[in-house]
Amino acid sequence: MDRTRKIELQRHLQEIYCQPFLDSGAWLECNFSTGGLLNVTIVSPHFQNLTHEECQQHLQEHLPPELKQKLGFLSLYTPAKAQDFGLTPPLPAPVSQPHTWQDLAIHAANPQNVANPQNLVPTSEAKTQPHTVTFYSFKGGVGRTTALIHVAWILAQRGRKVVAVDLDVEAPGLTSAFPLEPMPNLGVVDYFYERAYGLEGTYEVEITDIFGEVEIPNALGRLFVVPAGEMSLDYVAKVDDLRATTVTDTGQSLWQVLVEDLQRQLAPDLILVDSRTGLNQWGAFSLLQAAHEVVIFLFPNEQNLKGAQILLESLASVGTVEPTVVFSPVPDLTETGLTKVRSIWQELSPLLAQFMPEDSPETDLDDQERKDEDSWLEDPLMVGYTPTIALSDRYPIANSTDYYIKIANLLDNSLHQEQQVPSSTPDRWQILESLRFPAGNAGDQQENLGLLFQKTGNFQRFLDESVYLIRGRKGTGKTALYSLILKARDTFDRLSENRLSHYDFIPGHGRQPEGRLTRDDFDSVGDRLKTNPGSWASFWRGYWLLQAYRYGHGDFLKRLPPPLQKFKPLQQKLKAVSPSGWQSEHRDLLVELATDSDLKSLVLDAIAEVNQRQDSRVICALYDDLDEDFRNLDNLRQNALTGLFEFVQSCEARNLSQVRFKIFLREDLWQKLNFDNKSHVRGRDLSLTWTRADFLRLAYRQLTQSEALKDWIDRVYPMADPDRASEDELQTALTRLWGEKRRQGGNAKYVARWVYDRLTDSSGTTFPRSLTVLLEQATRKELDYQHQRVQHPSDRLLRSTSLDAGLDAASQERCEAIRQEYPELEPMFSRLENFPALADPQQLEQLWADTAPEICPTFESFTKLLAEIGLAQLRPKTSKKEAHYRFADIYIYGFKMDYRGTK
Amino acid sequence: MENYEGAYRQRHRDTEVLHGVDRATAAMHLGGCAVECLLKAMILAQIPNPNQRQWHTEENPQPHGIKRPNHDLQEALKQYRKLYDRALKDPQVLKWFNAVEFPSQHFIDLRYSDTEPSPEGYKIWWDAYTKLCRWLEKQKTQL
Repeated sequence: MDRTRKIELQRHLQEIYCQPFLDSGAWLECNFSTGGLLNVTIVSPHFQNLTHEECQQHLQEHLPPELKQKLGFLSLYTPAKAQDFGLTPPLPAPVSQPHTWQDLAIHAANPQNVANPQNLVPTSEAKTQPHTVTFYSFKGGVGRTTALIHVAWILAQRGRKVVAVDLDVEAPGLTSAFPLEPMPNLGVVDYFYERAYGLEGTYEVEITDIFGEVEIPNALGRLFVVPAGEMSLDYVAKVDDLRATTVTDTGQSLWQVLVEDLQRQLAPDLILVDSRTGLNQWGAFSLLQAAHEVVIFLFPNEQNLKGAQILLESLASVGTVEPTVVFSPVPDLTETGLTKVRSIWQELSPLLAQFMPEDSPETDLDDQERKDEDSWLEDPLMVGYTPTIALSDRYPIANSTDYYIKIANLLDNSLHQEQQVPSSTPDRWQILESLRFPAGNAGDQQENLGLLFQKTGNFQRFLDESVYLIRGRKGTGKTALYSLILKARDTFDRLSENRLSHYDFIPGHGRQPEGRLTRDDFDSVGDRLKTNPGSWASFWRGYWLLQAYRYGHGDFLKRLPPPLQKFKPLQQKLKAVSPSGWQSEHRDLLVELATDSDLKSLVLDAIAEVNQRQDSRVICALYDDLDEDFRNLDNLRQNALTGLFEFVQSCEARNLSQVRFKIFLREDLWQKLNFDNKSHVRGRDLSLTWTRADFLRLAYRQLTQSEALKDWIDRVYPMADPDRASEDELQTALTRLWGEKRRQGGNAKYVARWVYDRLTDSSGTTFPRSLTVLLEQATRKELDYQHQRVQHPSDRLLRSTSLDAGLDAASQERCEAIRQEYPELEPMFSRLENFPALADPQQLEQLWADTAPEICPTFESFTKLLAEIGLAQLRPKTSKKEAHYRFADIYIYGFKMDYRGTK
Repeated sequence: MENYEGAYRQRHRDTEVLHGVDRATAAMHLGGCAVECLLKAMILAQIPNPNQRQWHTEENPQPHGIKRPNHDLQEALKQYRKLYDRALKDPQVLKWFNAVEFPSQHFIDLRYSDTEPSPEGYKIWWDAYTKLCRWLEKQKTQL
């Protein structure tokens, strides 16, 4: 009987026997034996005046047929009888942790009693003990102890204080690999034996008697080893007599006593336990009582697979020990051997995916899809068979640590998370309340623009003087760059290391303190250019001159020395309009400069004159907001943009070397643009893209505006310059904010990667603006938990559900943006609600036929468009799934699509 | 303090005496009490530390936390998980437990009963009782 049916059965019986009689003290308890027998105790007024046989018969009528043959103990009483017998309802969660294999099996057989594994809270002692990792294997000879030795060595070299404990008490071996100083002649067995059977206060074996230190040259940390004990007849007798489940007189387990003593004496960062193999009482002890984390070593064959499956299933029912699987030793690291490993790994992966206390799998399309596809699997951890390691008597083997570094990294990361909760942790709510986020649109940001701007990987290309077109999707930071240059010049110079310090930047068009020409102005300009022999190129030329004049680069036009008297008419026109603001007179002037043939020529000459007078300085005009300010009607936008590029190219043709341009343009507008010399732009453009490291830098930069958070991060991960930090360093620093992984388990997704992937569309474009929205909303959601009676995560500020809420908000913002970008696709967007996020080609073709045949004449052109705009991408056929179209996560939530995908 | 082991032996002897003189209802009542005593003895014996072999109460808390079970045999068995699980693995043992706990009604209620069981019913009970005692005695040496 599977988990769901057991839970349902309990609910069903409760409906019959308990719910109608809640006030009369009705209750029930179901227990399944590991062999599948059902044992129930039901206390209900329903049994009043019924004989024992009648009670049993009534119960059997409500059981599924297959259970009627599998009945164990049935205790069916009225409340009065139960009171006579002193029976009381079972205690609600938290349920105690299992200590033996039998406990574990019974736990796993009774999911109805532990419906939520998170209810299983570790004891307070377990929480405060040093991070403990058990190295476990079903079968011996797989290199478990060797791995432990190497991992302990690597971590000590890196600066960790590590204690390795040999709990392979029936076949100890840890000490023979290490030279210990001093070499103790007592071990953990002697220590346990006294505490199990001796009288408290008379112990002779002290903690200092049972460990020695391994001298590691040049190590930053230290490594101590607690051996099992010296092999002797006395040792054998003690091991046989010792019971791993013994509770001492003070009510503690043997493990708790040992850890307290170790903590007092050595205060280690990490305890590594070498466990007994198989289903032995000491194996259970080291796995269930001692471990926070278990590294399971298995040889890649069926026998080991079955064992690992049962173990993972059982551990998942408990949910407090995080497992990692390592294949060891893999005898053949060629493709043939790896195929075998991967096939076993694939079998284990769904079980590993169960370790998810914070996430619900059905809301995660990736997990959904992963179940169906092979390609998602990352390579598992593996240790290859190496004769030099296998044949050695002493460890570690120099230059053989490569395999073990990955395991060490994994443990190091867990340790980072553990250590993020020092006793002096400041008030998490205070930190959350101190977080501030910039306005949704970079252009609206007035303060701290320089501090919040993130230099992306292609910033250097922007500084290339020959580049004049900066392409990017809406929300990729074009306006942030535009604003940074105009409003925070010092910061721009610092970030660019003064490479463009000889540039004078002016707004060609875009946000300016005094306002700008509006859509209506441009509508009017467009109408008048249609009926006049002018052109948009001339318009931009006049506009450029007006701006240069306003920003002090056309002083000759103010005084006009004798050789330049020809500019008099132009001077009069410029002087006639107000030197600031934008009124109709400015618009009319620009139309006149574009349509009057005399003035047109004068503008041309005046620009050449400005160029000549610049000495070594360059005037660079910046153009932004070209999407919003031009309606897409009657080719207005197309004509205006074409004119702008014609103007730029004409300046180039005339070798106006002191006149430069940087045009920020939405990617789709650029793609749609057609003009004669479009190909000339090739190589003079760049596309704004955000790598994961850029993204993490932005998150770090925005968040550390909060002094409280920065201080908290700096205590463990001080970072001088985030721009020079590696992706790993940034990721580590941000674990304070959102933790390391989305959920527990070796194959769970890293949060940093999750955030980046979720905010990246299917064309690979990532949106920094979405990141701001996500963080802001996630913070808000987290603050909602402040007064709720739920457990708050201790290793992170934002829990997964808060990040989910943030993603939802970011997705909504992004959907709104794409709707603005592509208004012609609105009929299609409005049909996306409940449309499958994993759509088969027929479903997508129907969507096209219903909503977009006028925009895209063929289905192929429709799918091409979806790919270009980053909405959906074709996923080719795999061995398990037909070809299908996958919508990008960033749009799924905002459009309220059906994330469960295809049936 | 109760001596469950001794009480079991005494009640078991009483039951055999009653069985010998055809006092069926009284035998079934005392037989149930005998098994209850034996279970209690076994539950306490499972605790490794002899100093802790006492029931957990609010006044006298014990590290093991095991409270004194009452007359429900399933409830008592649950206090000794290993024995409980072993009983569930043998369908015969389950039958014996069921027969001893509920001969016609719960064994503890038989003290107020004024009827005697049928000879066949009593025969089944006696068979179950003797086998259950033998089975439990055997477990004592093997757990």
